[in-house]
Parts: sequence; C-alpha cells; structure tokens
Amino acid sequence: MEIDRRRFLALAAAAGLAPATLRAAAGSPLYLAARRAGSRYEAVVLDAEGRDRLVVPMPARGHSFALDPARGRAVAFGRQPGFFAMAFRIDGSQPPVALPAAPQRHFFGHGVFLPDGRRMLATENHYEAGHGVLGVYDASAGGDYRRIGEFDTGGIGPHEVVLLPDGKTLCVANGGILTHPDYGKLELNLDTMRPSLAYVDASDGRLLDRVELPAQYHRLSIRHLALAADGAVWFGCQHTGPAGERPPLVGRHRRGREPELFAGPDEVLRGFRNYVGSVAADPAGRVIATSSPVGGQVVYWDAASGRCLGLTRLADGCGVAPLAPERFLVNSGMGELVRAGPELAAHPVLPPSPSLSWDNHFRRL
Amino acid sequence: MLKTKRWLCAAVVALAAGPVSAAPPADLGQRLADGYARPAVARLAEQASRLEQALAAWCRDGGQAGAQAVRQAFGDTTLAWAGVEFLRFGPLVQGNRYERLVFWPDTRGVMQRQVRTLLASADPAALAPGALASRSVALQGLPALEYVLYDEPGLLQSPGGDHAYACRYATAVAANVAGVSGELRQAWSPQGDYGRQFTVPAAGNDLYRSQQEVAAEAVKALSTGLQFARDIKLVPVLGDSAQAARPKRAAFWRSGMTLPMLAASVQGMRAFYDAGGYRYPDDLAWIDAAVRGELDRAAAVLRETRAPVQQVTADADAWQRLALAGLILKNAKDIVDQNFAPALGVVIGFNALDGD
Repeated sequence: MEIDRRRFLALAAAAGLAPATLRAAAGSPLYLAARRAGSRYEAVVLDAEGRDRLVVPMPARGHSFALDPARGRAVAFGRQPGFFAMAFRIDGSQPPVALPAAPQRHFFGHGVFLPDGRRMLATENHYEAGHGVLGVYDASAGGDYRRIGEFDTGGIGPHEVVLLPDGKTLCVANGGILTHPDYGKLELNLDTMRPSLAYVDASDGRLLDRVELPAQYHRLSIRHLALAADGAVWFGCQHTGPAGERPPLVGRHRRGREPELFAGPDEVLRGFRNYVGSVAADPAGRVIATSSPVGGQVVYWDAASGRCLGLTRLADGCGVAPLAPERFLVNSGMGELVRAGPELAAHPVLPPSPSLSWDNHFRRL
Repeated sequence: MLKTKRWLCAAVVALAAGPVSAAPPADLGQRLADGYARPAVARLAEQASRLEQALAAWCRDGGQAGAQAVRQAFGDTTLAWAGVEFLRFGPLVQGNRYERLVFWPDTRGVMQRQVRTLLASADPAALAPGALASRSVALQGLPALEYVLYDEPGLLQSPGGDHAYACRYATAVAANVAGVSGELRQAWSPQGDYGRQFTVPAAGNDLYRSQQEVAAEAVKALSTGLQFARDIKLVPVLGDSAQAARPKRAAFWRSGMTLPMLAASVQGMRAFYDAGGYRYPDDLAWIDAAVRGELDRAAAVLRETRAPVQQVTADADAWQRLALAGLILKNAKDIVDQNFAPALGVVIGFNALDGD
C-alpha cells in the first residue's frame, strides 16, 4: 500500500503533472471510498484494481464524498450523525483539512462541489430546529472551506445531493426522517414522514421545485441519487414501514413530470429487504445500479425503459461505482471488491477480508 | 464512556444468512410466539383494559381508593408495555402501532403541546368512541396519559379540581391503548396472518420463509432492544456525570416508572431469549450462560437502584449504578451481535447493521 502510494506520488512529482493529467497518465480512473481497516477508519483513493493510492485517516466512520475532479480535490464526510468532514487533495500533496460541523448541525454524509470550484455544499441536519439544510462552504483558493451560509432543503433529513448537468441546479433527496444526534439514527417522526426530492438553485438556495411520491408512500425514505445520460434523476429508497409491505424502491424523476417508480420482478423486490443503500449510473449513463447490503444484492436497471436488467449477489454489498459501459465496481462490508454488471458473473478484484469493511459509497472521481 | 452516536435502525438492521455454524431450533418461531410474544401482548391488552376500567370508575366516583387503583393499573400497563416494546417488528410496526402506544422520545415536545391544546379546547368530538385513533399519535398513548395523570393537570395529584374533560380524555386514551394492544394480540395469534407466518415459516410465505429468517428477526429484536435500552433510554439521561444528568430525558419520569420499566424490559429480553430454546455445540456453550448472565446482571442493577430517576443528579451512587447498567447492556449487545448471531448462522453486515 505504502509503496504504491510512494510510487504514485513520485511519479506525480517527477512528471509535474496536474492531477487531471495524472489521472489520464495512470491509464485508469481513480475511485474513492470510506472504510474500516482493522480498528481504523479511513478515506481511500484507489484504482480500478483495488490498489490504494492515498489513505486519509478519519476520526470516525466516513460515508461519501464531494468531488472536484478538475482540481483534484475531495471532501470526505463523517457518517450520519457526522460531526466532521475532511478535505484533501487526491494526490496527497497537502495535508488534509478537518471541517468541523457548525453549531447545532451535523453532516448527513453527502455533498457536492460546484463546477467552478468556489463552493462546496453539504447536506446537514439543523437538529434543534428539526429541518434539513445545505451547508455552503467557501472552496475557493484561500477560502479554507469556511462555512459561509446555508440553504433550506425544503424537507427533513436531506441525504444525498447531486448537481444536475446544467451545473447550477442541485437535486436533494430529503429522506423525511427526523433524527436528533442525542438519539443517533432513531426515527422520531415515522408517523408523519414526508420525503421529497427538492431542486435547489445552487447560487442562491432558491427552492425551485419540490416533488413528493404519492401519499401511500409517505414512509418511503428517498435517500440516494444518480444521474442518467438524459439528465433524469434516479433515486433509491428505504421503506420504514412493516417488512410485509413491499413498495417499489427505485425511481426516476424528470423535471416537470411525476416521479416514476420501478418495482422489478417480485422476487427481486423482496430481495432488497426494503432497503437501497447506494445508486450509481454506468459511465454511459444508460444502466443504473442499486444496491442493498441488507438483501445482499445489486440490481441493474435500463435507464431508458426502467426495465430490470438482472442482479449480482454480494453479501453486505453496497458501494457501486461506474467502471465501463454496463459495468460497475462493487464493494462490500465484508471487504470484497468485484467487477459486475447485468449479464456478467461477478469477477473478484479483492477477496473478502475479516479486517476490511467498505462503507456504503464508492465514487469515481 | 457512555457517549454513543450510532443507532441501529430497527427498520434496516441487516441480517443476511451466512455460513451456518449452528442451526436455529426447527420450531423457533413457534417457541418465540408461544413462549414469549403471545403472552406478552396478551398481558398488555389485559392490563390496558383494566386501566380503562379503573379510570372510568374513578372519573365517575372519585376517591382515594379509586386513585390508587388507577395508579396501580397505570404502572402495571407500563410494565406490560416494557415486555412488548422490543418486539419492534411485524404487528407492532404496522399502522404506526408503536407510536400510537408510546410516542417517545419526543425531542420536540409534541405530546405536551398537543395535549394542552386539546384540554384547552375540550373538544367533545375527540372523545367519541374510537375518535382518538384518527388523531395525532402523540395524543393516543401512554406518555399522553401519564402527562394528564401526573403532570398537567395532574389528575392524580389534584382530584378536587374541575377536570371532568381531562378525566374522560384519560379514559379515552386508555381505551385506545387497549384497542391497539388488542390488535397486536390478534395479529400474533394463531388466527392472525402474522402469527401464522412467524410460527410456520415456509417457502411460499411472503414474510418468513425459513427458521433462519425467524432467527434473524429474533437476533435483531434482541440487539436493537439492548441498544435502545442503553443508547436511547439511559445514555441521554446520564450524560457524562451526575451533575450533567438530564432526568427529564427519561421515559416515564413523571410517574416514576423509568427504572422499573427498564428493568422489566431487560427481564423481558431475557425471557424472550429463553423462549428460543437455543442449543449450542460444546465449544460455544458459554454464549448461553453469557447472554443470560449479562441480562440478569443488568436487570438486577436496575431493580436495585431504588432512587427514582429524578434523583440521579443528586445521588452519585445511583448515577454510578445506572452507568454500570449501561456498560452491562453494551456488553450484552456485543455478545448478541458477535457471538449469539453467528452461532445461529446470522451474519450482521457492516453496512446492513447500521443503515444509512
């Protein structure tokens, strides 16, 4: 691991390359994930072969990342209720910077950089007020990631946020679940949940649009998001109602239309165990992967038709990242890393390991 | 030491069947239902009916004896609930039953606000038979009942006042609790769809297809029950020291039932574990003694903490005892997760365990 990293850094220094060029030179894209290794928590940059390129120690368990590939930066967020985030350079050229949570706020684990690199926004819980916000951070040179404000997300429990292809509109999954860090992740409002997708103007926080599922799905917490090639937002949900209820968990939304839900075959739906832990699109944006560590399956969907394309079984498998057209890298809480996709038997990259656990999200830079 | 920031979501705890080192008993569902769940929900339904009757009689006749009967019946009902609350799956999570019975923790003070508003309005429509069931869950359950009995207006302390509406509201809440508990009893019964699937898992079932899936449910109930007891009920109350304790964060502090209920809950978990009749290979036999031993020790420490929970700020000894109970509960949960679960062939995944 250390040798890889040293070699990588030496290569970078020798070539004097900007990170983006470096990525191309390395010949394969870089990936990010949070993990537990032994008793340590880390954020990791790795390549498609599962080799560590950079290891950033974390004070507690991490979750997902805000990515700024153009400038070779990322921010790793603590897992909900997270009271820290770590900003770092992908090439490890500068020491990581810790971002503490603002007073009465904690991170939910997701965030985005804006394309100009001047702002980073993170989903946060204003827990004394009991509503969701996007913390706005100054990501410009010399900005030190100072928190300069916050936007309302128009709902409770904002989880994943993505930036739409227009580069200026954010889509936020308001999971709808009220939590308070004194009680960890305990759901405090199951009877009155109202999850939503919110579209927010990234420049001024204006709530442009707020979309809810039909009333019978009010306990279907919308949590994870990915973008298809056509700009549609794909979302994955977690049902907080009884196990015997089996609402569809995967959906698609296009601005100005009603959200559509896709159930897939009954047995596939049952296999999710009412839980989707991560959503990703393949590099072409035509195949959507949705994972359930609870059910131990990753299910693929045709982004155009919403047709279920098949599944890969992987115990505690959760992190999914684009690899190639119709191909994904998938990792698991059991330490495994596989290449997989519809109509492809999972191909092992890293074997299971008792001392290594990958967290929910696996991101391609 | 006692601080914890992680909560295992009851709804999303993840248990996948893994390599089997020991199989669950072939009749596990039947054992858990007959040996624990059915009697526990039946007791709750009976106690709640008694509470409704005691309240109706006292509201009509008044008197010290009547008040004592209400106090007793309320306490008995909360203890019966303590034996049911960790069965937070199946019928208890259907139709918001859990929240309708006990809306707690209530970090935003919803119950208090809504009960005061209702009492001020004295809206007779809310008290029509069955009407509460369609009101906010915060108005429907035992915390609301405790509030009117012990706090505002504090019916049991000030029986002389003109509290006819509050008394009728209290009776209506008890009736609602009895109604919801009756639904639980029905759902768990051999005639209930849930009770049937839980006791006879089969390939064609929608819910449980094998004893392995029943075992996963049982492990999850124990694990989350222990976590709830410690992380939600104890830790926020205790804080980092006796001086920092926050007794009003305790469940049912107004009636002084916090610690008796917590002890009853742990005893319930012990009985639920016993009902499973788990058998271990010789090299794992210690697990059985360890689970029982930790649950017994925790229950004993809680029972023997005689001081009511409000006194933990002033009583360093009581605080220490409760901190000790928290440590034992943590240890019990670790044994359940790390030893008991795999011994039943249940694997709790890193991501599945702690949904996000």
